[in-house]
Amino acid sequence: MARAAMIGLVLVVAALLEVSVLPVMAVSGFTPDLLLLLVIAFALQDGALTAVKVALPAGLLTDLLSSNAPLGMSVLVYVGIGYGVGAARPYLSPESVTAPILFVAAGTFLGVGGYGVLSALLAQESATLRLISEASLVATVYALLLAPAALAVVRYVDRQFPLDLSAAAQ
Amino acid sequence: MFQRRRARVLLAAFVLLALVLVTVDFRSPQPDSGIGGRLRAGVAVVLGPVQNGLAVIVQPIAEAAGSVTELFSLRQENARLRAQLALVEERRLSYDDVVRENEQLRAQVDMSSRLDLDTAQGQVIAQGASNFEWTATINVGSDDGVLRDMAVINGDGLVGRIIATTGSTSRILLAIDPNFGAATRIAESGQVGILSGDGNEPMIFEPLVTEAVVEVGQEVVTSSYSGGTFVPGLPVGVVAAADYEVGQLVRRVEVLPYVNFTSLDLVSVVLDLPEQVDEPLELAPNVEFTPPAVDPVPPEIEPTIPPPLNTATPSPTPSGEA
Repeated sequence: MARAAMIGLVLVVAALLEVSVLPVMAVSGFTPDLLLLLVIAFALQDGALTAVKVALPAGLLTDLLSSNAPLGMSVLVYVGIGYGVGAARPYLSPESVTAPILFVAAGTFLGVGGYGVLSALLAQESATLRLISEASLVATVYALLLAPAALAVVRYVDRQFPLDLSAAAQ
Repeated sequence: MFQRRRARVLLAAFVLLALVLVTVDFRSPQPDSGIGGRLRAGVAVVLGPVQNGLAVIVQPIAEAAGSVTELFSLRQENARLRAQLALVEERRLSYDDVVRENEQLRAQVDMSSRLDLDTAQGQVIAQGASNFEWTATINVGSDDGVLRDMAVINGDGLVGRIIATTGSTSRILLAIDPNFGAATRIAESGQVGILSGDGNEPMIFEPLVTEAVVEVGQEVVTSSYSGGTFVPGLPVGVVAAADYEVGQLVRRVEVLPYVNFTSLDLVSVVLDLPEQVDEPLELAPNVEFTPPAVDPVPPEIEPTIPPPLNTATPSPTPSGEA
């Protein structure tokens, strides 16, 4: 319960940072997707189950803070990316440094790009290919810079409120 | 193994839930009335004060950071501003005279002064969460008289349009958003057209008359053409590129906005609505045009024999009689 509350708090703080603080540090108008980054970090640390569980509130929060896209679009993207990264985690060596970097990059690129494609289909007909590729590239590079911080936050949450493995195994 | 299966089950359940949400929200006819609109308004009410507080802390830092990132473009900007200043100085000489003349003429035709706008001041406290929409949240709302579709300006020009309001906050669709559309005209020539966003800079102006003469450096202002959403005459930007090829069907004129959208801070909501409030331009127009009934059978055209030319002229005599 405490763990859920803590994760909720982390998500809300990240969402607030994303809408209030990051826009002033935007690179050519694009900002990294902090909540997606957190979902990927949870997937890398705790696996697919936690990632999928975190992805739902994170996606809902993103959708509620944006206004053009239909509700649920980010949920779709986050859940997919979270599961994908989490499912690949058992095949990574735990000491590897490059693997998390690669997964953060691939996850962010696919996540932001996928969101762009969905919004081109559903919300904004003029979200062009150029715009989508630009946004995903900038967001990926930006996410790589912020990835150590996101992983540290997730590790902190895990240390303070350890994942209850016995509950998960039931 | 259990965990992996549970993850898969949860994945399927959440994907299904997301699809249901997307469908329900996508089908709700009015963006404000559906479940999504109400939830978003609720989130805005709850997070509004927090964002308001954050903005107070972030803004000074943003200004400092902004001046660092703008360090490289400062020299260019300085040159541009000097050129602009020279131009303005040149124009200023006759400005006072023109203003006086304008006032007199307006008094004569009993027209209200258009620069006298009633506004509500607000500060940007947050921006859109997604990379594919350009929106901003400000700390004035319906309590201050802000309504949907009102124009938002700042000291430089047009910022955008209000798309949602709560009691104390409202959300602006920035003019650079691809979903933004506004009736505008070239200030110098009066050529009307539709201005729309294109993500980041520049914006796109499509003149209604494709072959209209549009030159680089001309100013674009809002227009009330065909029930435009905005008060006419709000400055938008300058034409940056206006290529035209003969026979082009759609012409895209690039417009550099006056407003710096990356460092929005204080904005004003124009509380005056244009004379006739109409649907915003980007929505599908209400088609009331009914084509005239076409007679399925075309009327028989009687073959007409041209009248004889002139009976007085003697008919050519047969050659045999000559």
